[in-house]
Amino acid sequence: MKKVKIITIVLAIILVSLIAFAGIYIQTQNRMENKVKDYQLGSELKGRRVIELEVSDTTTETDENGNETTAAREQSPEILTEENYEIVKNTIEKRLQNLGAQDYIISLNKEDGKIRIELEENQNTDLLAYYLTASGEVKIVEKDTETELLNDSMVKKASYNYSMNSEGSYQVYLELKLTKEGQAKIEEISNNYAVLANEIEEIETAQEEKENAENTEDTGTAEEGTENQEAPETEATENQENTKKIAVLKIADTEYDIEKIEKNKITITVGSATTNNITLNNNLSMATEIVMLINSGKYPVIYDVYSNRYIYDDINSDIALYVTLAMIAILLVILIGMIIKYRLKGLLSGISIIGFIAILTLLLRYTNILITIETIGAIIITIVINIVLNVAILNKVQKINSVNEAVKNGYKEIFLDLIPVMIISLVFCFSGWTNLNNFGMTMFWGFVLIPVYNIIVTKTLLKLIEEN
Amino acid sequence: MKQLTEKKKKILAFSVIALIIVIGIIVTIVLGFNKELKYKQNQSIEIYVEQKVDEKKIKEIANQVLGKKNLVETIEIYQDMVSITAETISEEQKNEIVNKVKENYEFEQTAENTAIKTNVKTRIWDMYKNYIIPFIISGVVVFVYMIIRYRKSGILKVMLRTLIIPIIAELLLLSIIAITRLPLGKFTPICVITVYIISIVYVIRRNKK
Repeated sequence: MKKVKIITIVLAIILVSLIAFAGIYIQTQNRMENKVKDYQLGSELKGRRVIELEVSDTTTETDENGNETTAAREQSPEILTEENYEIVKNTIEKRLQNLGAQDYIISLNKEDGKIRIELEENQNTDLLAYYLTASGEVKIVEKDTETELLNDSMVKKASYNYSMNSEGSYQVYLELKLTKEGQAKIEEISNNYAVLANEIEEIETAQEEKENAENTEDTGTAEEGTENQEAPETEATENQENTKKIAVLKIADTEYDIEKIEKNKITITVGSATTNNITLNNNLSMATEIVMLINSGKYPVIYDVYSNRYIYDDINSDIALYVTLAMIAILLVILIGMIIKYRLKGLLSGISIIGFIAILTLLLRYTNILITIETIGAIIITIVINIVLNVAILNKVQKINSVNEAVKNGYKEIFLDLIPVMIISLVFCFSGWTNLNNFGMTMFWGFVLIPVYNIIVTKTLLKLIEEN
Repeated sequence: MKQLTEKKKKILAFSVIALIIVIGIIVTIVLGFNKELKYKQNQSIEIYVEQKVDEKKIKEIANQVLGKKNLVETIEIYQDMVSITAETISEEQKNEIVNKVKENYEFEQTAENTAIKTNVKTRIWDMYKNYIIPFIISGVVVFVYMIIRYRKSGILKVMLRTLIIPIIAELLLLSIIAITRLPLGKFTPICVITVYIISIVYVIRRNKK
C-alpha cells in the first residue's frame, strides 16, 4: 500500500513536471496551442524601445492649406550648454518617474546634447515616448499681438482638483502656483488686461453688440440722434471696459479659461462641467498630463525625436539554451550525488526537487513575474535553498532516524538563518525598479513554496519509506 | 598548533583579499571599469534588409569584418533591419559589411547611403542608480535585525560584522571585475545581489558560532 502511495506521488510529480516543462497542447483552429501560460520576458531577454533625441535644428509650420513647411531653427549657443543638456536629462527622468516607468536607462552626450533613452516595451511605451518631447509651456499672452506677459519661469507648481456644482456637474480645475515674480506680474496683468473667462466673455459680447450696432448704423441714420441723447453714461462705461485689452493663458499653445486669480495662484478650468463619467475622466487625465509636464520642469533646449525603434536583445535563443543545459547538467550532478550518498531517500528527494522546480516555474508564470536576468538569478538561489534544505533533512534523517524530527530541525536550521534574505527579498518586492521587484517577487514565492512543498511532498515521501 | 595555523590561514586570506581590493582600486582609478559594448561610446550602422534577417549570418559577417567585439541586433517588430555596433567602424569596414550582407540578401540600401552613427555612452551611475536605495533600505533593516537577534554575542562585534563583511565582499567582487576587465552590464546586478546574500548568510553563520 505504501509502495503504491510512493508511486502515485512520483507519478504526480512527473505529470506536473511534464506540464511545466513541455506544456499542454490542445488543437485550436487547426493548430496545436499550448494551454499553459507562457513566460513574460523582461526587456533584457526580449527587446526594448530605444528613443534618440537630438537638439532641434528645424521647425515645422503648417500653413492654412495644411501644407507643412520646414525651416531652420537656430538655438542660441548660450542655451546649448552642458548644464542645460543635463537639466533636460533630469527632466526626462522626472517625467518617466511621474508616469510610473520602472525600467529605463538615459544616456547623455554632453558635447552635442544627444540623449538616448531605453525603455521597457509594454502598453505604456508609446505614451512615455510621446511625453519625452511633449511641451508643458505655460504663458499668458496678449490676444491680438501675442506679446508674452507671463511665462512658465513664473510658475512654481501645478496641481488639479475637481468639484461638483449645484447642477450636479463635475468641473476639473487646474491650479498654477506662482513665484513672487509671477504674483507681481499677474497683479499687473489683471489690472491692465481682461484675463478672467467672464471678463473676456463680457468684452467679446460687448464687441459683438457694437459691431452689430455699427452694421445697423449704416442702414438707418435718422433715429440715432434721439437714442444718443438718452444713453451717454452707459456708453462711457462700455468704452472704459473696451479699452481693457484681452490676455489669454496658453498651455502648450492651447488656450484655457482662467476661472479665478488669487494672490499666489491662478485657477483654470479644464474642459467643461460634465455629468458624463467618460468626459470627466478625459478631463482628469488631461489635467494630470499638464500637472506632470509642469511639475517635472521645462526643457531649456528644444529637442526633436531622431529615432524611435524597437530593438531585439542580443541574448538569443542559443545562449538561453546553453545556460539552461548548463543548469540541467549541474542539477543532474547534484542529484546523482544525492542518490549515491542517501540511496533511495536521495532518489526520492531528487524527484521531489524536480517537482519543486516544475511548480516554481508554473507559479512564476501564473503570478505574472517578468523573467529578467535577476529573476533567473532568484530562481537559481531558490533552487539552491531547496536543495540545501533537502540535504539538511536527509543528513538529519541519517543521524536521528526520525523524519518528523529531521524535517523540524532542518526547517529550524535553514529558515532561521534565512530571515535576513527574506527581509532583503521583501524590500526588493516593494522596489519601483522592474528588475529588483521581479527578483524580490521570485524569492518571495520561493520562500512561500519551499516550506509548503517540502512538508507536503518531501516529508510524505521520506515518511512512507521510513514506515516501509 | 592547530589554532596557530587557523590564525595564519585567516591572516593569509585577509592579506589576499586586501591585496585584490587595493589592486582593484588602483585599476579602477587608472583604467576605470570596462563596460559592455552597448554602454560604451560606440559606432553603429543600420541596414534595412527588407526581409527577416538571420542574425547568425549577419553576426558571422560582422565577426569577419570587425573582429569578435561587435554587437548585432535586429530592429523593429518584423526584424527586417539590423544594427551592427562596434567601438569604431571605418568607412571601409562599413562598405565591406553592407556589400557582404548584399551578397546574402536583396535590398535597396547601398554602402554609400549607409551612415556611420556615433552613439552616446552610458554612465555607470545612470546604469545602476535605481538599485542603490533598495540596497540601502534592505541593509538598514537587516542591520537592525542582526543587532536584535545576536545582541548576546556582543552588539559592537555584530554591528561591525554586519557592516564590514558585506562591504568587503562587494569590494572584492568589484575589484575582481575591474582587474579581470569583465564588462559591467546586465549581468552585474545579479552578481552583486548574490554576493550580498552570500555575505549576509556568512555573517549569520559567524554570529552563531
